[in-house]
Amino acid sequence: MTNQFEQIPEEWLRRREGLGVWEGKGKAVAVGTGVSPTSRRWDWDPQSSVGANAISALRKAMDDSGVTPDQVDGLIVVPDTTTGRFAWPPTWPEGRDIPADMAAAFEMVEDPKVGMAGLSTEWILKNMPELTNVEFAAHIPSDTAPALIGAVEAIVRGLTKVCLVVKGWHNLSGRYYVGQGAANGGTIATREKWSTGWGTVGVYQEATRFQRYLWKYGKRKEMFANYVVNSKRNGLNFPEGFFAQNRPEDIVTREDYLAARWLAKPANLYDADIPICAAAAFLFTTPERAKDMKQKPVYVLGHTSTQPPARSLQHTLEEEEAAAASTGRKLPEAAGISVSDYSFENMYDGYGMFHAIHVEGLGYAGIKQGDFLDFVENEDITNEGPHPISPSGGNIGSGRTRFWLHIDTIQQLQGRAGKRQMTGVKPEIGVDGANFPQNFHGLVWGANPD
Amino acid sequence: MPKQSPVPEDVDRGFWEAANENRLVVQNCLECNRLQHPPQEACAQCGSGAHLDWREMSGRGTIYTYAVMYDNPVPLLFEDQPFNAAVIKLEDDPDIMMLSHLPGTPVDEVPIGAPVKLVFEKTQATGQLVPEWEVVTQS
Repeated sequence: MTNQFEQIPEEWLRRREGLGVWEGKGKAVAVGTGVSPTSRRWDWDPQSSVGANAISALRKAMDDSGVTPDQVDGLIVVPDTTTGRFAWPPTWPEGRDIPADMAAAFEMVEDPKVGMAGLSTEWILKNMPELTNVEFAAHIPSDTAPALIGAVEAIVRGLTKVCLVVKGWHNLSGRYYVGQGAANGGTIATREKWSTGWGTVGVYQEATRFQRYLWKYGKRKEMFANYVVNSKRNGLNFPEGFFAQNRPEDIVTREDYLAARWLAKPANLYDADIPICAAAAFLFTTPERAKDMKQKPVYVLGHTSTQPPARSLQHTLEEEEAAAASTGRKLPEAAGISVSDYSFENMYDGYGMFHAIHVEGLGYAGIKQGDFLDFVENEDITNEGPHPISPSGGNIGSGRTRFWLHIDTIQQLQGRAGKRQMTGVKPEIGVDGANFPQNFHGLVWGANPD
Repeated sequence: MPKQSPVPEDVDRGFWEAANENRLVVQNCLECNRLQHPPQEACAQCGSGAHLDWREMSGRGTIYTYAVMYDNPVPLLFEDQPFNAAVIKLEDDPDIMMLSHLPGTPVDEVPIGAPVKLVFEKTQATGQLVPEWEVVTQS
């Protein structure tokens, strides 16, 4: 079947301030989620490919929801699955053949890399013949958060009644960016000459903003330690996550954090997330249809998007703070709530410093610009406390997926987050979103529709 | 520090030609009277590429922020790790930023807010000059 669209319609996004309460408030719900097994890098086994992981996640999401495949009429796929920057490093190793056993295991599409270094609705539907009644299909590039917004808008607009969303990540062998592409050789072309040529990809930009933050507000790097330790702890309590599955002994202490090797000082190893292989799926429907499903529905109360361009080489701290503040105003406006109504937050954290800017922008727990480090150093930020910080543990806690935060939000509001279930506050309204403050899509979720 | 030699392309050729003459220029939209960097095919404000030219800068700026690179992706820079990678704001327009390895400034001794002056460094592969920045020492 033909996709209805290849990117989310611009008119579905709520970018501006002053739009008022979202007209779809409470009219779309998340019910079930599913996560594939996780791994550090793809071992070239077809059964652990991003395609296989996507199928695994989709089937789990349907099972979790108590929905049979024939009841699904909508499918949104995030086609991008790279754990690096888009198009570089290349999504496929130069000179590497397509594995023959992949073609034996799965129905292939015209681009043979799909299923290994990308996803498509066509590939999913060919390899999940049980999805017999999909009438609405779409691609929403880049990430989970805009795909979730696409799903809830599609539900609200009546394009689908039971919609699956899937996002996968593939991580091929090789060190992150090192010696690859533009970084290699004695000359450098394209726009990479303004960044990579100076040795500054990866965490560099956020590290410089964090350095500016420490200088501007008179804070110390060490004040970030409790936040990272808490996120790592929450990650180990996330059974679907990479560390809980693969490195359950990997407890990170304050001392570990302070002794970690530098990447781009003031950012160290534990400030960064690790690329992994994983896929997650979400099932959305209407409140009416959800009544017969297995899990308690979680209502989407509002959403927003914030993507201001950088004025020059990179976003400044001040541009990032302004973007986060704009998001912080738009989300409660869309949901028709006040900031004090947030029970918890699950904002993006890969790199960890983003989380500080996001939370300050939200004003969550009364945290203002320049306050985050004092708060996480001095307050109870655990899931047992009155103001949980990153209860999912995020990318820092469970690996680079940018979807743990959404899964945790849904599970917290359903009261089935297991060891992570917050106990110091009753989870009634949660806020989450990804990724950078200056490239952001976020949602407000409620245990109730209003 | 050794650097990769930037390969001039149509969009930024004016910048690199000026650098080889020891001049720092930044792309300017005559219609909007607005500088932009890195160079682009069109003005980010009005969307037109018809009014872009190059404006020479004073060669003075300040250190906005920095990081110390311990794990960079460019093999040519491996031997110099850790090294400074600072963001410089130009005095002519503080919205315009450039990167610098701050030659002469030890790592962990980078003074945010300090004035810097322009110098040019020759790159090995092609001899292309690139702009660099040094902290201005008070005499």
